[in-house]
Amino acid sequence: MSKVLMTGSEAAALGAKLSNIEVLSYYPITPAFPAMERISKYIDDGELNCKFVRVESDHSALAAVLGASLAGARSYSVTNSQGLLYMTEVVYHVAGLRQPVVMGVANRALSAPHSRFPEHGDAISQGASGWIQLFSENNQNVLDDTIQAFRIAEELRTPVMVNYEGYIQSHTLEEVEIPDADSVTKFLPLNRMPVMDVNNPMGVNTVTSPDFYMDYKFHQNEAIQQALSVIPRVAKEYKEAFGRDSFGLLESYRMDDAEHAIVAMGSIVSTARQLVDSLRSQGKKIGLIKLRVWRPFPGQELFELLNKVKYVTVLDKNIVFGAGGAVATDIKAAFYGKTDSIINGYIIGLGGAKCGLEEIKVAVDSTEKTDKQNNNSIWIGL
Amino acid sequence: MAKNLPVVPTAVAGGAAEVSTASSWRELRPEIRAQEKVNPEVILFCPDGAISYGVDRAAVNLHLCKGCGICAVESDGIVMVAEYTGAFGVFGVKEVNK
Repeated sequence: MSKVLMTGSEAAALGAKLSNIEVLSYYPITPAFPAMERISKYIDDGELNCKFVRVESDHSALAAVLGASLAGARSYSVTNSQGLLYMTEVVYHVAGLRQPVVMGVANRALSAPHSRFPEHGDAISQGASGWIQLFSENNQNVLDDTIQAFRIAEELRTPVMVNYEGYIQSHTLEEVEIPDADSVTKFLPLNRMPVMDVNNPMGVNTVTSPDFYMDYKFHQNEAIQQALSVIPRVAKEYKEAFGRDSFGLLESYRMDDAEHAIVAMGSIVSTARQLVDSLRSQGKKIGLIKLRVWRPFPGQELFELLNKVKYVTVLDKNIVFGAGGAVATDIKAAFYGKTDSIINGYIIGLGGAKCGLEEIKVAVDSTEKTDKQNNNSIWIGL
Repeated sequence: MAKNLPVVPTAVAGGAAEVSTASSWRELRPEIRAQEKVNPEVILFCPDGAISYGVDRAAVNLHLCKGCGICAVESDGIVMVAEYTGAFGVFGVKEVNK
């Protein structure tokens, strides 16, 4: 196993390469494009035996990947923000047709007003689509999560998005340990599940009557719920194979005796870690929960970690208009009737707004000044 | 208890899934009135693969047909007829175009 400096984009590309993807399609968009270029170069250099399908739009990119997956190929795409929105129709097709597609998403804010900067709004917009969603904290996670995503997807016949933030991760160099290719192939044997067969033509995604539609949706929901047990097992097997812990659904950091917990996902977790260390050195009983998986939402697992704390500060790099931050809203729904804890949601870092130690400290202090539960989200950094 | 269904919604031989019964919400049905006038290429236009064409003979699988009417537009010899469904079930058809 070697260790090199690489960007999150390169980590995503390398993860896809080590996973031996067979078909790739994408449509260029910032900030996901370096991952696309990197995989294309692997193909061009003969390092990866993969068919790259050129298309005229993001919608077509995912459609091409869907077709390849139906034919049994291990298929991958990368996109973000407006590209993901343009794909949305096919995002739902892939999930409903139960195809084990993996897609990297270099999270970027959504227009309008137009923004090129990071936040989670694009991924959150797809939260009802039926895709499993992993959120990577750092570039090592991007690599590890991409490889694990194929195992999870193929086991459950359910697609997986691997989210990493634009620029903060996609364009920033970090040390990444690279597993050797043979070990990854052993961890991730090719598990073809073709639906289409040229010798036996059939229709896919045909009109379904009310007699059956709901049953299909029930089975789809059952499959994604199973991810709550499959993801931790895959993480455990990954640790046994490569020595790195991905912590399954959640990572608990300095939560022993904690009275206050910060909950976050993505790159802001690293900043929150620093704040927890700093406040712990001042004697404050505070810890951190890193949410690695947002869909399916691990509500019960979160509750088991948070049911003894007095305060919960939830950092959301997204806004669901009229409701609040997506993670805070999910936590409050999952904890309904079970807790007296003060759970405060904070909207932070939208469209690349500063979300450093200072801003997170403001959120933490604000939660402790609250004396009753409420459903409002508080905006930090306006 | 949810029904036991194929994991991926597919249909053999093309067209609407056998389990989907698209015909259940069809309001018009194609009727072949003149076999000699049917264009064999009409099978390419049916979005549900409901029309087959054997030796000089076309046939419509009404189980797969959702009644869109494209076949009647693309080929002579086929007309769309309405399916009347009243309180006592299907009781007749009425020709609506020629």
